[in-house]
Amino acid sequence: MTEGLDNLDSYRRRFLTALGIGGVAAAIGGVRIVGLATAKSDDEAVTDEARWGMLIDTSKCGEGCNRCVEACNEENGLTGFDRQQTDAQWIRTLEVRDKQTGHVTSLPMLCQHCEHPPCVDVCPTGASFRRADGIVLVNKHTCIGCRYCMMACPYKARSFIHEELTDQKPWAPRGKGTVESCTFCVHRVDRGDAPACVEACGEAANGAMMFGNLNDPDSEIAIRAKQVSSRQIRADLNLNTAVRYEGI
Amino acid sequence: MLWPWVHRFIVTACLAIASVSAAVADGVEIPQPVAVRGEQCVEPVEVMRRNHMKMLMHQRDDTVVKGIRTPRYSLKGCIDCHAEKNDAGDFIAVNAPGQFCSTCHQYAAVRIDCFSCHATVPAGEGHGDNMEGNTQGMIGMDTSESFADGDIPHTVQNTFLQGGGSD
Repeated sequence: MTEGLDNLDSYRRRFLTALGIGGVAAAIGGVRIVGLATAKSDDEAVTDEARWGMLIDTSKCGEGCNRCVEACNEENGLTGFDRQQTDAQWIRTLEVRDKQTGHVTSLPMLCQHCEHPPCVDVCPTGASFRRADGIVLVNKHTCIGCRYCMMACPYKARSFIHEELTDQKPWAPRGKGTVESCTFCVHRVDRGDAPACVEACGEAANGAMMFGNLNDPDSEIAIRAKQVSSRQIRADLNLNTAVRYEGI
Repeated sequence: MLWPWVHRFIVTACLAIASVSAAVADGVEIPQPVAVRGEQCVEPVEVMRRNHMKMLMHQRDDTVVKGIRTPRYSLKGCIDCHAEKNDAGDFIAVNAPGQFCSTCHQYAAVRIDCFSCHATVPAGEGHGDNMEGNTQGMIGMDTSESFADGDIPHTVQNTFLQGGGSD
């Protein structure tokens, strides 16, 4: 929305103040992802300069560790009804066993934020969409709850809300009759923080998850992705996922 | 001839309806919701009454699709200022009976769907996304704001007041 010009100054001021605080946080080891070059202020629209992505080192992913899932549930207010079949889940841990050797790999599975998302292709209302910076979201204002996207997603990343909810988080509106999935904690990304799962994984000293701008060749994630071998899950579908895995 | 009788009946009926509605208007008090925080809303009260839904509609698309998170016309901004606290110091839901959102909507017989998804109380203190930042759009909360009372920025007028009916 176009704001009064005199308001711009106050946004910029607050934004610069936030950056100052962010700089300090980075210096003492907090997970901040956005450098001066790509950070945006509140009144700026996102652009395709950044493409947010995640690199997950499954060898560091502790067996039985659930910190990322807990952090996601806490951050986004995902409360269940003790009904595993239908409770919302934005990120889940999978254990993949090699049938030949018996080797077990744990990995977190979440929305892969595809460049060519099947969920967006099939959505009849345009509610399922891809933001300019590559984050795939559901616009719940236009979602009619048809769940075509859930059928289209090869990663089973989406959930449908079956029941009326209360006590939602102000930054994560969710309600009955709509589909939802991992948002890469878009409210945090927009203010320059990493998603809650990444932060929690780092705090648990696993450090298996890395988040950053895939388009910036100098970003930590882009450098690492260039150095080590990583894979997309179901790369054969040519969706160009933003989430990549090492060690699988 | 039947017409004079019909005519008389219609006039009488109209008068009766008019007097009934006048009585209703007298009997139902117009709600006067107030802000809990701040001196004045982001726009003059008259503008807000008529156009708040357009502002929210516009802002929601900007926020969801473009990531524009200015607090000035956001639903979160409304709630941060208009949610009351009870005696125990806990926030009361803005859509609870007698609270800010519900008083007018009940009066105007409007059923809104915002709160089947959106939080009805402000974020707790201490979260990075809490109300501290959301006072930015408030006139009177930030001394650097240069809007005088009733002085609507032209951009806002252009955006919202078109097709909004004559005030």
